[in-house]
Amino acid sequence: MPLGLTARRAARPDASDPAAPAFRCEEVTKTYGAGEAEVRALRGISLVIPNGEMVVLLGASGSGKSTLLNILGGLDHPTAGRVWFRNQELTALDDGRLTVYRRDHVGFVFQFYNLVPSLTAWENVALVTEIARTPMPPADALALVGLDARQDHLPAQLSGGEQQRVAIARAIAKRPEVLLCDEPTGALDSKTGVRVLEALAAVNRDLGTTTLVITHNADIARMADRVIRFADGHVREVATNADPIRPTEITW
Amino acid sequence: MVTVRGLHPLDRKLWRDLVRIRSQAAATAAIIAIAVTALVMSTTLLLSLEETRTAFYERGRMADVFATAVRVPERIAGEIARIDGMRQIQSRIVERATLDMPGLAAPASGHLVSIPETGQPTLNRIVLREGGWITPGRADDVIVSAAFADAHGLVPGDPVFATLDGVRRTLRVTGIGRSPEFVYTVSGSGFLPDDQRFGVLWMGREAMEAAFDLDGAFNDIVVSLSPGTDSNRVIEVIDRLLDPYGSVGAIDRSDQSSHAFLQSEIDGLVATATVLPTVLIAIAAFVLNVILTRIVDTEREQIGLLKAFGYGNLAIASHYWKLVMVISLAGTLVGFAGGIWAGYGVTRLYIRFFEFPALVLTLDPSVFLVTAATAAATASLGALMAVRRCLALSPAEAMRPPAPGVYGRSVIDRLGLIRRVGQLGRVMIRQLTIKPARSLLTALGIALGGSLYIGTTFTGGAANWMLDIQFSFSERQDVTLQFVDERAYGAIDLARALPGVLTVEPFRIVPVELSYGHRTERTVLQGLLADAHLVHPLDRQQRPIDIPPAGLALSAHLADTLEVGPGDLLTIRVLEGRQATLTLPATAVVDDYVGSMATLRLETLNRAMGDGPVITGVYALVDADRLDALFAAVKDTPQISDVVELDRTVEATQEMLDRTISVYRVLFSLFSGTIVFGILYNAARVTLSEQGRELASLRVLGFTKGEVAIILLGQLAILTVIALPGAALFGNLLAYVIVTYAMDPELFRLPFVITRGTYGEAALVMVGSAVLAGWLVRRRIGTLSLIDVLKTRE
Repeated sequence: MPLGLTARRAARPDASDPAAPAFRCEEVTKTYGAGEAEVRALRGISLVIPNGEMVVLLGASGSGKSTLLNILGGLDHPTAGRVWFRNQELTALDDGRLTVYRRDHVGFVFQFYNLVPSLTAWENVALVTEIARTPMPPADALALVGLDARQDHLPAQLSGGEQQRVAIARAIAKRPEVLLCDEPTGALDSKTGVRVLEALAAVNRDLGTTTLVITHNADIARMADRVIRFADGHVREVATNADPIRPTEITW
Repeated sequence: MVTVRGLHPLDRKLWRDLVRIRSQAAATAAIIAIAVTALVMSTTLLLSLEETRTAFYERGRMADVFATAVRVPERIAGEIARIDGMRQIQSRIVERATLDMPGLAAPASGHLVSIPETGQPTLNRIVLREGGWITPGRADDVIVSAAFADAHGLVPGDPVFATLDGVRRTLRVTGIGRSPEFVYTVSGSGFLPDDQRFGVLWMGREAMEAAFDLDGAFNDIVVSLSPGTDSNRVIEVIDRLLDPYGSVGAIDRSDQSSHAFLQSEIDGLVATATVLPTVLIAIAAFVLNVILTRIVDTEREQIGLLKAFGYGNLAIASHYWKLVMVISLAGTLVGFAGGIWAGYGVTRLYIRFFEFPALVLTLDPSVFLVTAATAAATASLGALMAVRRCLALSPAEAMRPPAPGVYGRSVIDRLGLIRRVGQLGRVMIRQLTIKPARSLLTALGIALGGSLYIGTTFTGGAANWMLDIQFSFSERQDVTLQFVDERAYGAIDLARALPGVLTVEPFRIVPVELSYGHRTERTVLQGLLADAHLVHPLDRQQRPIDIPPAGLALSAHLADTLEVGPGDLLTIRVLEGRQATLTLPATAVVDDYVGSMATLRLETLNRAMGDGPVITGVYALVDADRLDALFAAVKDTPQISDVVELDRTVEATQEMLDRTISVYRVLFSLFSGTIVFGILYNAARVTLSEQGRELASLRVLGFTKGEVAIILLGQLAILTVIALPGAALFGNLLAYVIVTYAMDPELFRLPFVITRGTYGEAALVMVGSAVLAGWLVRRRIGTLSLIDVLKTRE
């Protein structure tokens, strides 16, 4: 630990069985608020996401895709139903153990990058590798997203696309089993977005990381192995794609 | 939501803003409350003490001039009464007696004052607390001072065993009371009241005339003057009239010991009541500015929005001004209540050192007005300075978040030191260094808060240090034995023969008035053997002073008052016996801490006085196990008037100090702690609102609440640590101001010494407040929403 300050760690969730599917959901429901103000974000979702796939979650705003991603990422608890990551039931974990789950297994990429503004690109990546079990060197992670020359730049000195690629480097540097991306190209123009998607595809292909990408952009779905369509808190359709295209073929 | 219909939208915003930032507002108001409390408290104490004194002096008809002689025929009193400007006059007999109190091994000193058998004297009347007046014709009736009665559990009807002029008598207590001339009583040798060992006994005039062989005569006279009468002129006439009768010189009330002590206390309070609140208000003003700047910084976008809507600068400024005024007003009101409470509390504590029959608690409405106005002005200034920066921005600019600061250029980065720190540590350090001025000002505020504790409570440590020096090095006797009057040198053998006495060293004390030019000062000459080692004056480095063979070694304070230096010739009027006038040079100035006296060699003193080898007492080392035997023997030795154990003096002084200082410790740890807490809590809350998104992001990345809290709490810790040396520095400054300007140097000169204990306590107060602030903010980190931050742009 940096600074010699060791936080109390919760016991590590057991998620060692790589043969199990990456995620399994059973009748997952999420309700916000109560009474008249009640919002049912997820209305009993059951699905299985196999290991190593590139999965795109499609749907309108409020369709429940972000809520599901948050639950899969250990950021939120479902109101009812059960969720497994491999053979570990996430819905049985408390906050402390969910923190450890995120730390050990999950990489996040957000629409607005969420980089630490006071840290350089290299330091933002190192922030995560310092607490990871088997990280790659921060420089390698940055090289994977094509940013080896920009390591010492602060977020404010980088373009939006570069910032998002730093965020991807930060997410993959710990060699996570799953990479969860919420609108990773939502704030980017087409050309920059494609570069970010290339980076995600490379990670999925080269590291075998199960990658879930939320998007509004149906074109992006064409690069996925599996596409899950959401509407009104339900999964409307799960389609597999035998021949995903390359990100460079996508435009918007 | 609280209903605020009917209000202007801005005022609704004001109200809801206040509710939203209520804990920050409360912490800020607390700082204002502290400053107001200090101001109200010190003025309440001062006014109450003055009013209490005035009331007692009026009720007891305190005299204006006091004169003592040896034996004056009563008719002289008539002549004195005819002096122009004389209003009332009371001749009387004042003598001393040795009292043998049950349960007290040592003899006690009785200060006997005659009163008319039939009723109150015209001046210096007794306010009876219980019992009644003495009965005419009953020579053994006495009224006893309340402090002495309480120390011994005396009630009317109890006997008191006394030796009057060598004759043992059993006196009977008829009443218990107080008189304005004995508000603060010390026996000959101490400078603190010792109520067990010293008491005032009022006895019938005729009984005293008989006991002390003063038929038709008096030895003490007190007078009151018509308004506008020059007391110096009256004193001159009284001196001339009493001169043939062994007068030691009349004195004005201002030189009367009880009054002089009380006055010096009041003077000290005036200084404290000025210095302390001023410092506190200055600190509060500064801290308010720091806090408000931080709060208004977080309002930046809202200010931009309001400007965009078309609100003018004045409307917006007055909106924030109102916000601050509400906080200030709340703080002021709490401060009023706190000030009255603390003022009454401190007054009650303080008044216990004095003998007043009733406490007059006084509040001055003008103080409240001035205080409220000062607090409002201070807060307004803080608010306007804080808002000014945001108002200067264009609406569009203000609505955008502030441009990210330039990270990574601090000294720590440039020196490469940052590489030694992990990423969380880097975030922590860069957050502090990105706005170095803000961080430094915050640290400065914390330092000022801590300095307040050091600058006020150091007096306890300094006084203990001084006592330690005084009583470990300068005065090493076990007991001081005082003879009734001057005795031939052979009296040393009398003392040496007493049980338990191991070593004795003679001294002679002569009350005098020293003059140089037009300056005069009453003090005592202390004659010591050249090689005296039990009691020996020391300089500030605790080295024994070489007592010069021919001249006087003067306390520095005395030398300063008289404006004399080595080589100057002093005129010395002896205030006893034949009232000789001597001339002796000042040959050394002793930079000492306690008392104010002139020391010279015993033989020089005796030669100058034209006496043979004469002493007035001895300092002695005694066998501690035989102290009671010594006391018993002294009770039966009429030549010895007083015995003072050093340990007892030290203990009494210590106790008084501890009592006062412990109150100050509590009070100022509260003051300091509130200021430090207020700054840090506000800094932490503002930091949390600025960095909340970042901290939540870290939680999402898998950092635990504890690890994320470290970033925030680490910043508080660093600021506090940086502030520690600052607190020491400013504490020294404040202590220096207090030592120099707010302490009466007459009794002792407090050394400018700040003990490690004081620094330690201040650090404890600061760190404790920081921990409390950190703990409160730490709880909020747990409530950070991990999901919200992901969906919103900064």
